[in-house]
Amino acid sequence: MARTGAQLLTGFSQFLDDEFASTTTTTGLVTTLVDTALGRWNDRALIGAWLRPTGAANQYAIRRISNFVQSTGTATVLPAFAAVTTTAQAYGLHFYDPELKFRALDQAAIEIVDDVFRVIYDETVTTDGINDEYAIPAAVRRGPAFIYYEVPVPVQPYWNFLANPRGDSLTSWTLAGAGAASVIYTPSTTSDILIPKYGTSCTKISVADSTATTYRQVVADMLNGVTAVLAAGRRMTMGMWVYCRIASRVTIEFRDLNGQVAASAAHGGAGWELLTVSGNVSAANTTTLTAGIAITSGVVLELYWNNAWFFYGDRMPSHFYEDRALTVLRDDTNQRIILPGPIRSKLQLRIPGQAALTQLGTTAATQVTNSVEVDIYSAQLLFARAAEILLGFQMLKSPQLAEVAARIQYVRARREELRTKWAYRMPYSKIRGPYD
Amino acid sequence: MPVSSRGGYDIWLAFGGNQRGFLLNKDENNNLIYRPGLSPSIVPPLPSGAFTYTSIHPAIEYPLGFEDWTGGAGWDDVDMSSGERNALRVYNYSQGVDLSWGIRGYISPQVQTGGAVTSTNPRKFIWSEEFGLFAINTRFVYEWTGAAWTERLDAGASATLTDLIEYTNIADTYLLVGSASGVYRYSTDGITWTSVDLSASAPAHRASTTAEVVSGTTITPTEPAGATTDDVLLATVNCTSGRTITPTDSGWTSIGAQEDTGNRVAIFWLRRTASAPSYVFTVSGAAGPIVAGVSAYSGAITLGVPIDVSAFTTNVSGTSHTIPSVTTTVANTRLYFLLSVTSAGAPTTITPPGSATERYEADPATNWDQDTEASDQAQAAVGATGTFTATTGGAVTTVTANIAIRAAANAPDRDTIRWAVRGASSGNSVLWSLSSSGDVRNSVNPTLASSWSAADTVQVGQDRNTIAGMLVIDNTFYIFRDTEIVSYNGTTVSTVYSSPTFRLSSNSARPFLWVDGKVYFTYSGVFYAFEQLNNTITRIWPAKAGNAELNGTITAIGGDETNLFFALRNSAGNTYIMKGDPRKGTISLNGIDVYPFHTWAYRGAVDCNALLILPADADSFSTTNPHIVIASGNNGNYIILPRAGLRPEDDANYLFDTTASRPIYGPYVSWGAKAFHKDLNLGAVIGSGMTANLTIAIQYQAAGGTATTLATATAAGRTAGAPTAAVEFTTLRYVALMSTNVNTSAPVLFSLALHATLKPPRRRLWYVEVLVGDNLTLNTGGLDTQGARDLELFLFGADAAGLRMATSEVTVYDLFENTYNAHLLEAQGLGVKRVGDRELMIVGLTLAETR
Repeated sequence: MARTGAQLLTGFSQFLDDEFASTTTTTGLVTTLVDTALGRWNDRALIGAWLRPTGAANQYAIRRISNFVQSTGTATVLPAFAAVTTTAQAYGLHFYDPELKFRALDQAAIEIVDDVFRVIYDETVTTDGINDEYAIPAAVRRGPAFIYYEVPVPVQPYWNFLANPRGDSLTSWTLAGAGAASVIYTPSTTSDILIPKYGTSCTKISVADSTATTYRQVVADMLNGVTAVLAAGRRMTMGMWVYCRIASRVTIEFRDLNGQVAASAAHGGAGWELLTVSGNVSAANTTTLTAGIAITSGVVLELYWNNAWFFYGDRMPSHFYEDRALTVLRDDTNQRIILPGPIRSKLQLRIPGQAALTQLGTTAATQVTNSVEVDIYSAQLLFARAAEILLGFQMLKSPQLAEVAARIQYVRARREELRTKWAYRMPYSKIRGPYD
Repeated sequence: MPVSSRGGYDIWLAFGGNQRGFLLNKDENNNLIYRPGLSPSIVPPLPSGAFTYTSIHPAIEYPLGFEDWTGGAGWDDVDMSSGERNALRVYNYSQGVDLSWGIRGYISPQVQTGGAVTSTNPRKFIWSEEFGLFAINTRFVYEWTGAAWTERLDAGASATLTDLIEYTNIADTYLLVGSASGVYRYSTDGITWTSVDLSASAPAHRASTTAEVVSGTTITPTEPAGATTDDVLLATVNCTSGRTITPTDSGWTSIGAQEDTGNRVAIFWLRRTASAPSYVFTVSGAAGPIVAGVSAYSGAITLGVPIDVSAFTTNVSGTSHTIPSVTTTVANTRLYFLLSVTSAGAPTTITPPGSATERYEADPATNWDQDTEASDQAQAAVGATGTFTATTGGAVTTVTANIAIRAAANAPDRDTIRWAVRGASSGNSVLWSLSSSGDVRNSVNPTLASSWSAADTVQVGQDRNTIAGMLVIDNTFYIFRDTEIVSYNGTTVSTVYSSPTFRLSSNSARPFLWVDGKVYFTYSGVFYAFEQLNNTITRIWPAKAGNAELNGTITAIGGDETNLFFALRNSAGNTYIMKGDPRKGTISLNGIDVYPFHTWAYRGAVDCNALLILPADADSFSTTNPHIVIASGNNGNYIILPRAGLRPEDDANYLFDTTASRPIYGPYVSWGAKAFHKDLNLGAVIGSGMTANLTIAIQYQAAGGTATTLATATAAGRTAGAPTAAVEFTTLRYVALMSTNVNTSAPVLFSLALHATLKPPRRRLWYVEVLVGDNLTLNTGGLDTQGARDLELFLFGADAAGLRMATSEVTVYDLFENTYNAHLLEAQGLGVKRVGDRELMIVGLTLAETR
């Protein structure tokens, strides 16, 4: 379960023993924040610390405390806030600059990639039957060590409820959208080495400018006995190969009586992509079960779809065959994989790799809502490394090297301890015999 | 989240509204260089001289030795801070211990019983070869007759005897005792006494004259024979009614006039000057019969209206006539009675009141209506005189009058409050008497009242003013009275010394002329010396005002050739006999000249209003030793003094007081450092002659505390003892208790010592090394944002208002979150460390707590 930036800041502060959150007890000034709970510190103790309101006025503004009066719990800040601090306003108190904490977290997310990372399965590359060298998708920052190529899944098994699932017929499908058109695309020659992906033809949908469009099949047109009532309370999955070169406009979805049950991630615009979506149909469903494509408005767009599945279950079946003979070339401008030889055309390549954790960024409003792909355990590694980095910042500034180094030494030891416990493990490729 | 009040810093410093947090440097062992401590102990000033060091470190036990008491008594406390060595030579007081021998202390001499001097305190003792030892109190004269005081004179219950003196003229030697009345007594053998009355009297009738005019408008009586200056003349003019009587001389003043049937009487008074007045009186209207009489009185007041009070009345026809009563306001008036017949008829014989003396009767032989008679009598008392009755030979109507004439100067009795003998006249020394009103008279034959001169023209005192005494030095009188000392050479009175605060008490001692030619006297409880040669006053004792015990009134002064003694009755009613010798010069203590006097003997609640030093003599108490006779309440007792050249322990005749535990109270001492505490370590006593019954104990007594024994010496030498528990004090005094169970021997005190260790105040002192740099790492995390430049300016520079830490009071918030006020003693850079491109300065600070 990914953690938000706000959660990580709290966790990181706790890791540093630098976490105090409270709410103001009375209205202050633009230069003061008042909270009687601060009375646990006496005068002077908070001078040099940082205040960061997290709610209401001055949200996420970071100010340094220049004076503090214990008796009233009044902290004076420099520079002034933009607005008067209000009562019951949440805030955090930090002795380390919160901005540096965020920066350290983002830096740590990059630096712990050996231990905590995102696993990337990129399936956006389609073979053309003539090349043995392909570009490594940008999402794959480390790897791949090996690739898989596609073994096509049968399109008309007994469990697929869609009628005309190959896309080679417009029957049972309904296009909705001003100016949109759907046709069956059948290349006149064999020169098209990419479309259709399977068979000899597929559906092509042309979407006019600034028009949202759907292309759906209702339950009445579906096969294999599925009904709206039967689907009630069931988890269903839809999959569809879609070719598009414009990202973020195309999704697939299915709907019940309440409307959309679920929608897939948007098409990345990289060519053939298998869009999949899973969701739970309403238990009260009686009348509606619809599956199809949803295209948001935008510039003129064309897409092709070829083979689609709608069935009970939550995972789209896929079959990839491993090919470990692989050469990877990677520099600043070129990221290439070289296969032993051309693979027949129109097969998707599954390229596994690694990527660093997602960055929280520097925008105050979003760095708290952005999430990082760590759970509460692996987050400790992130914190430990972030602490090192934070202290490293001090190392770069403070003349008290020994002072800082001692602290770094401590958090480094903690990180090593945590690393043995909570680092992600990537399985090594199995050792194969010469005849495999 | 850290909760240290220091925040991210180790210490905070603040001054003048500026404050900065500082991180501390670390040593090679990674310890913070934070070195709190206590300031060095201060070195207090202490007495020097006998000690070989001039300052005492608090680590040293410091004994204060009290072995020289030549500075005398009267010192509650002493200040040693200025190194005043004489501070150890004084004491507060003793009660039954004699420290007048300087470096040896004895139990006071035992008071020997003389005998009762019934029934009031003896006021004076005199001793002469001629008569022996005599004492007077307010009523009696007593003589010491070898075994008891024998009464020689009882002046009566109402008497107040004032002074006793021996006087010799060519005829005899007399003892004279004065009194507060006009009666004094003399004796030529001390046994038989004769009274001489010099009481005051009313104005005296000198002479009277009368005149008669058969028919006329004026009348001129002659002047009474012998009338002289300051005589008061009373003129009575009697004429027919309806007329006005007017004196020609404007000096006559009307006393009053009364008219009855056919008759008018007018009375005038005039104080005669050196020349006679006009005696012409004019009667208005047609010529008619006139009768007049004039009486002259001497001894009336010489200033102001001599008529104290007067009254007139008329009487119906009869032979008995009432003279009205008057209420006199002063004593010793002369009542002048007038009776004038107003009814027509033959002249009649007039008889004055039986108590009165007729002065004239103008009784014309012819058958006139006018007939006047005057008489008088003395009136001693003040108040209503009552009426008087005169009679006539026939029944007539009369006018009567009663006029009181004031005696001169309100005419007190010629009392004698002090005697003196001065000069000589015709081979006789001259006896002088000083009255309570300040009049001075003299005589060379005190057996005769008439021998006394009139009061000298000038007075040496004021009426009823308190006079302590009159002494003669070089033929000049010196009178010691309230507010001033005056001298009188027989002609001129001069104020020798005057002070409105010179006040005498009723029992103030009489001044005493000592062998050094100075008069020792007292005002307001202070003992002074007056030197006649230059008319200077010297304050002798106490040197320092204010003593809780030795205060009150000096009630008696006396002395011999070696010492002065005076009795001091304190405010609690306890009496000390003090002893000293002002001739031995002074010591200086804390800038004050000290004439040492010692609490030689303690009499408790027994008053001593007289004392006298006597030689060894058969007529005195001792035939072997000089001694001092002291008034002891209603007794005349005595104390044996050692013979010349002998110390108490050397003279077998000397007797010691056997009352147990006679104390000496030392002055409160501070070891030169009153402001801070000391710890008492030890008390020691050194002496000789101590036994199980002859003991000397040393105690300590802190201010406000009780005396606690440290050691009791029962053998000669040094005996010491320590307190059984810690004794912390600021000021403390010794109390020594001396005891003997036999009056023939006593322990001798040589020295007392108290040992203490000083505990001067100590305050915090810090040495810290602080870091001055940019981006210092805070203890709470984060980096310092104050900056090197800011910190350096804070430490070494001035703020916007010009304030500098170096010259300001600095608030220190220390490593342990305590707050102190301090001064920056030193700030010294210890080096600058270069780390990469950054500099880190280390500054050593020395701070001293102030409050």
